[in-house]
Amino acid sequence: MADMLSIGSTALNAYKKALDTTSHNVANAATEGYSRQRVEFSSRVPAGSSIGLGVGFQDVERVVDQLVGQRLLSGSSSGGRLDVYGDYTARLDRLYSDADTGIGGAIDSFFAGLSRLSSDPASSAVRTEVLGAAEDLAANFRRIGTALNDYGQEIEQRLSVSVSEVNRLAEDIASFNSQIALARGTGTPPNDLLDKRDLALQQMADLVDIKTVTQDSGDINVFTGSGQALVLSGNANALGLRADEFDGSRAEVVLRAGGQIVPLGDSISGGRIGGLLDVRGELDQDQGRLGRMAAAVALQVNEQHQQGVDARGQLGGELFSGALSEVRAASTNTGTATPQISLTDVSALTGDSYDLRFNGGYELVNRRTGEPVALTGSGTPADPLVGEGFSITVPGTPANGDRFLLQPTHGAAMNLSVAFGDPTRLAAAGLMRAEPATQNIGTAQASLTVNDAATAVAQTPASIEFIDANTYSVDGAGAFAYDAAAGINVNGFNLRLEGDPVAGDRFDLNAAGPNSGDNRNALAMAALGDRASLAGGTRSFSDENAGLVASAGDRARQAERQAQATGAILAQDRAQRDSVSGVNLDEEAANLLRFQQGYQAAARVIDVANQMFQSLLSAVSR
Amino acid sequence: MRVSTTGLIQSAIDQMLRQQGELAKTRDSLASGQRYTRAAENPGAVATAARLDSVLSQLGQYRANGETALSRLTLEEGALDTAGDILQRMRELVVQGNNATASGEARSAIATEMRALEDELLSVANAQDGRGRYLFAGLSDAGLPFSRSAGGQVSYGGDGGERQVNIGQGRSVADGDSGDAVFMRVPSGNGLFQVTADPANQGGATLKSAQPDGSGAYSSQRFDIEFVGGGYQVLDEGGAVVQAAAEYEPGSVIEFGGVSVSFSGTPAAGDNFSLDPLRRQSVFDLAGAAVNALSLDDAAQRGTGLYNALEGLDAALGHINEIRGTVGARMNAIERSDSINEGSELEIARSLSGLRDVDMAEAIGRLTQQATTLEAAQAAFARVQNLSLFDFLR
Repeated sequence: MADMLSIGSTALNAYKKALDTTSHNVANAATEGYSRQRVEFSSRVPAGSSIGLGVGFQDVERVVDQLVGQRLLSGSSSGGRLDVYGDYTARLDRLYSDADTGIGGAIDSFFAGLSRLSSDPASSAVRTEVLGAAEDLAANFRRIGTALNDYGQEIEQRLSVSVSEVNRLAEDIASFNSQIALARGTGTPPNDLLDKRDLALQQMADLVDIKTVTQDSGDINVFTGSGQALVLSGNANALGLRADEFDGSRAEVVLRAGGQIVPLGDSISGGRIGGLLDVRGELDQDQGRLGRMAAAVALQVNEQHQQGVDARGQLGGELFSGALSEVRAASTNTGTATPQISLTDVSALTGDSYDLRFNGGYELVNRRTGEPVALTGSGTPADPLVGEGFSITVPGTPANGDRFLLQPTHGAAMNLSVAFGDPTRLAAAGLMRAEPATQNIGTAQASLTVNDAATAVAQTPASIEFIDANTYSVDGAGAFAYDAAAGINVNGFNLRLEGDPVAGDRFDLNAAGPNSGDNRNALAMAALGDRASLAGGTRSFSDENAGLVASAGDRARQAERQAQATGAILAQDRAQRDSVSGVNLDEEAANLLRFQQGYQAAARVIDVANQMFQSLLSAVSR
Repeated sequence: MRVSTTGLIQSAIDQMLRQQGELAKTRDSLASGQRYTRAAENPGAVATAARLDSVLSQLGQYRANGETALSRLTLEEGALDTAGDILQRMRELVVQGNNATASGEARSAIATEMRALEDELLSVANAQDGRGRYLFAGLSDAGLPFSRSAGGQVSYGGDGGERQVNIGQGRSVADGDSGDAVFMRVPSGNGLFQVTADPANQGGATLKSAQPDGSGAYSSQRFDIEFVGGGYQVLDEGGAVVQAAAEYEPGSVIEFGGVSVSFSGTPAAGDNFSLDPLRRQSVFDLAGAAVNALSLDDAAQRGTGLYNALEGLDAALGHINEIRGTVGARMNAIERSDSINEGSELEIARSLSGLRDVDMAEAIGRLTQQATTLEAAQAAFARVQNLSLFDFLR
């Protein structure tokens, strides 16, 4: 009976423990990161006896699958990265493909407006409309450029938040490591602490890609993807942000370990931080590419506009203004050089960023491709360095080792604006016109094209008189052979005749006057809209815009698909983790019943033992 | 497989969220009528649509340009019509005035009408396009192109430029003709040369005909036909005698250097006619010359002057008609181009619609299907959610 009593009480103990654990499971059914616990029963077998001594229980066991845990870590890193990357690429996609904010419609309207101007160059209504379309175009470029810039600033803020979150988690993990080691020392399994540490690891993996190594002691050491230690047992190192050497508003992620600063740079490839860094790169490229389009519009339209005469009879100025290029010197530079960029060849522009280094001579490296770019020239104003579509002059004296970040088109979209608000300043008329003299016998009509803009803008009048059908004089002097196919070059213009000139025919070149009905410069500007001037002369503005929209769309779609795939895998891993470690309330209910019944039965065993004892007592007392 | 309770709920929630997302997308595209709201949904189609949009905008502009040019050309055609009518009337008047029976008073009345017609022609030449710009001023169309000096001479203040307007891909037309080309540069005489009488002529010889002889030998030389004694001699620019005859029979044809000239009436000795190569003259000068000729008392002089006026008016009519022809051709070109552009527009609009517009029937079907799926998921969730063993523990 004493056996029964002690057996019964071991059972009571065991079932009580099991009921406690089940209640704990039920209580934590919705706790994030909780792994269900279970009490392992085992029968107590005495040495050399055939009758057992009741039930014993091992420690409360935590049901986990370590391998799934590892998979979840790497899944969280990819998921976190794609979450951020997908979010931004989708926002960029919307920005470019929206009909109202996009560039395409504004470019079309602007060039359609120029075409309308060419059909009605004197109309002040049309002029106002064209200027309005130019404003809209500049505003749309600015809006997108500024949005890209704002996203960049947002990313810096999010980086700083994420970095401090990583640091907090690293501290937590280090402290869990210590607490777990302490608990193990007392012999109690620290199940709930283990869950919390796993959860912290998961949260950290969501922020940055990490590798974990479990020590024999049970401590978990955490390393960054490139192998830099973040947590070693009870000690945590901290991530930090350091101002970029070229751009103080932009931060570089570094690891601070024992007084040393290790730049992590591109080695962070996963987690939200990895995603933010990837997006930052994309934003840079987009800003450059969008800027290339803005710069191309500005440069080409300006160049043509300056070869025209406005309604006041004055030479056209720049239609678009704004700083197109950005140059940043490294904070470590010791020289006094301040390079300046001017864009020279729209078709050769890449939209990329470049590193300019001085080591006795200048070398230029394309940041995106990492390839060196051949430079010609010496950097003086007379002989500038010439790179891919831009030229660099370097006032001041560089020191060896000085470096500069050149972004030839990065400012263009953000800074594009229309240079004037007076519609009469739109230069729709050509610089000069050629007129057949009234007394001409021949019926040849003359047309003029600019063949040397620098000379042509002087608008020097000239008079071409045919001595005979094949010879002409200029301003009454000389006798030049006339070649109908090549035309006549004079004062920066090429004069062509439609029809045959007759001896005595005269053609006068006169500067365009004010308020003329001349539309030639408007025609020339409108024609720019169709010209394949970008990317080595293969793409027009509308092609480029379509390309930008398509590539942004493609990027967003890829990110979406990757996010879906990763999400599916992550969901599977989570399901598997849940399937092993998650709490099923029905199961717990059944367990509750089972252990309750067991508890009741054990109590009954004690009751029976008691009754047996009572019957024995009453038998003896009689 | 063992399922955890939170996992069960979470996966149901995830699924319902996803279905709601799909449903929202379908609803959006139904509401906007657009198949894609952003490029990621189909980058290729969206990029193609962007390019087509650009072409469509351009085509629209070409058509608008065509309309602007067409309205100007219509105005020009009207003005040219009127100018042609005026010249026709002038020609009739010259014929009347050239009639031997026309008295001095009649000629004077004719001259008065001619002057009125000339003024009318001037106002036609100064016509505006309804926007304050002059039709026949070339590119300097802000200022009055034709003005009459105190001496009655009409001069042209515009220029010889014309405006090319784009009406299609690589197609452009001039939306007008300069006043210089229309009114100031009418070929003189028969288009090759003109024979005029020396005002000092005393005889009764009147130019009857002056035409090239068809051999094509004439090339812009100047000749003088002098009647000397009973005959005549033809001198070239250098004064060298090209042809001479001792006897001249009035009315006989004089042929030299690729031209054939005949006079009616008897010349006096010393009378001189000069043959000048083609020049360009203005229709106003032409009218002025006709008025001058009408006022001449000497019948022979008047006859030669009116012969030349008639030739000039014929040339001017031909010239104006020729320009009207090119205007008509340009208007046709614009209309042709417009219909080509319209065709392309329709074609592109159709492609765009195919690329971009939502297929309503399909989208509504999809919406219904997605809604049903979502409802089923919700019902299933509610049903499964109700199942708990705890409910039975009483």
